[in-house]
Amino acid sequence: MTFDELSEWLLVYVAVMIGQPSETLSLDMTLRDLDMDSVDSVNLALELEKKFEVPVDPELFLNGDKSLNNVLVTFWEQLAKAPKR
Amino acid sequence: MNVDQLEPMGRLMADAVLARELPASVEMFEPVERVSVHTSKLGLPNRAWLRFEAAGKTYIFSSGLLAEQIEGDSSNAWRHINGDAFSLMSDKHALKNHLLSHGFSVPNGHMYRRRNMAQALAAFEAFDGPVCVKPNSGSEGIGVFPGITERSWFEIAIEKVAELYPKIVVEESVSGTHFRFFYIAPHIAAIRMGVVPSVEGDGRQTITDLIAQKNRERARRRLVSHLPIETNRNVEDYLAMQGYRLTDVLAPGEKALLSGVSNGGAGAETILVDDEVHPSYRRLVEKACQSVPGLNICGVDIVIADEKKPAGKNNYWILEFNNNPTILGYHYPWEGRVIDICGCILNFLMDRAPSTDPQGMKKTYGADL
Repeated sequence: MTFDELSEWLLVYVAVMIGQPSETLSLDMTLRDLDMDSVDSVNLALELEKKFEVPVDPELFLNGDKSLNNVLVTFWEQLAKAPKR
Repeated sequence: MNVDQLEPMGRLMADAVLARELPASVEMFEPVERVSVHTSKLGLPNRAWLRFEAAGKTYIFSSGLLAEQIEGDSSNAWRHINGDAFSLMSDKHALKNHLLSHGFSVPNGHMYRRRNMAQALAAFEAFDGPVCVKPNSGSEGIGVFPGITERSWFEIAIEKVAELYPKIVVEESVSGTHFRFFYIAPHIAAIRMGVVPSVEGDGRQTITDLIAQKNRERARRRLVSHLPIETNRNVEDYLAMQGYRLTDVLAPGEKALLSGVSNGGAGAETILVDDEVHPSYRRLVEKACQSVPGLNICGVDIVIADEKKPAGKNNYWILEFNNNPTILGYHYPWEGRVIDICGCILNFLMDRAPSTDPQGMKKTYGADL
C-alpha cells in the first residue's frame, strides 16, 4: 500500500465513522474537528492493527490538535520500522 | 497497610480483603492499561490503589475500578476486569445497538457528533414525548438531562453536553422506576432502586429550606453513600425546567424534583430491593450482560415501568452498563437489607468458574452482612 492509498483508506474510514461523505473531509482536519474521542481512537487503532498486522498505539489518535495528515505521517513512519507480527 | 490513604470504596474493599486474610497493600502509582499490544493510562491518576491477591492473581482497586495484572507481561500493565468488553460498554450508543440487536429494549434515539449540531438540534421534533440528552461516554450522571419537554431547554442541554463531550446522545426519556442491577458474572448480586432526589412542600418552607431539612437528616445518619445534596447550578436548572426557583414555597404535598438522574452523586437515595422486583428482570439483565463477551462485573441501569409485572418487550428499557459501578450504596443503603458487594466481588475473583446452581450462587454471591 502506498501513502496515498493509506490516506484514502483513512479518509473513508473516518467518513464512515462520523457519517459524512469522504469528499467533505480533508487531511488538514484535526482530530478535534472530527470529534474523535477515546473510543474512536481505540477502534481505529485496532482496525489499523488488523489491517497492517503491526502494533498501533491508540494514543496516536488522542491528541485532538493533530491533523489527520500528522497522524498519517507518524503512522507511516512507524509502519516502515515495525516488524510484522 | 495504610488504609486511610484509600478513598471510601477502596477502604470498604480493603476491609473485605483483610477479613479474608488475602495478601494486600496500598500503593500510590499511575497504572497503565493494556489495549491490544499497547499500554495507556488506566485513568484515576495520582491516587492510592488497593493492591491484593486472590486465587493466584493480582488485582488493583479504586473508586469502583477493578483491574487485574496481566500475567507474564514485562511492562507491568493491567487489564480492566471487563477486558475486551470495556470498550463497548464505554460507548453508550454502540452498547444500545448491541443490546437492540440481541432483542433487548432500549430507549429510541440517535447519537450526534458535536460538529453536526444542527442535526442534533433538529432531533427534538422527532420525539412525541419527553427527551433525554446525555454524553455518549459520560459517567455518574454528569451531563445527563432527562425529561425535557421544551425546545428551549433542549437547546441548553445540547449546548451543555457539547461543551464537554464530542458525542451527544438524544433519546426518548423513558418513565418508570430507576434500578441499578449489580452484575457479577454470571448472576445479579444486588438490586438498587434509585430514588430521584426531590422535596415535598409544607406550605411554609422554601425549596432551599426543604433541601437543608433533607441534609440535616443526611448529616444525622452519616452514611458515606448519602452525602449532603449540593444546591448547585444543576439543581437550579432542573428546578427551572419544572418552573420553580429555590426561593419558591411549595404548597403542602407539592413535589419538586432536584435532579432527573438516580445516581447517588446527584443526591438520589439508595433503596436495596430483592423480591420487590419481579424475578424475570434478574434473568433478563443477566442475559443482557452475558451477551457482551468478556463482561465480568458491571452496574446495569434500567428503567422499569412496573417492576411487579414480568419483563415484556415494552415495559423496561436498559439505559447503560457501568464499567466501574459504585459499591457504597450496597454497604450503606438508605433503606433495605445490606449486601456485602465487596465480599461478592472477592468471592467471584477467588473462584472465576463459579457454580451454575442459582441457589448456590445466591448463597455465594449475595451473602448478607
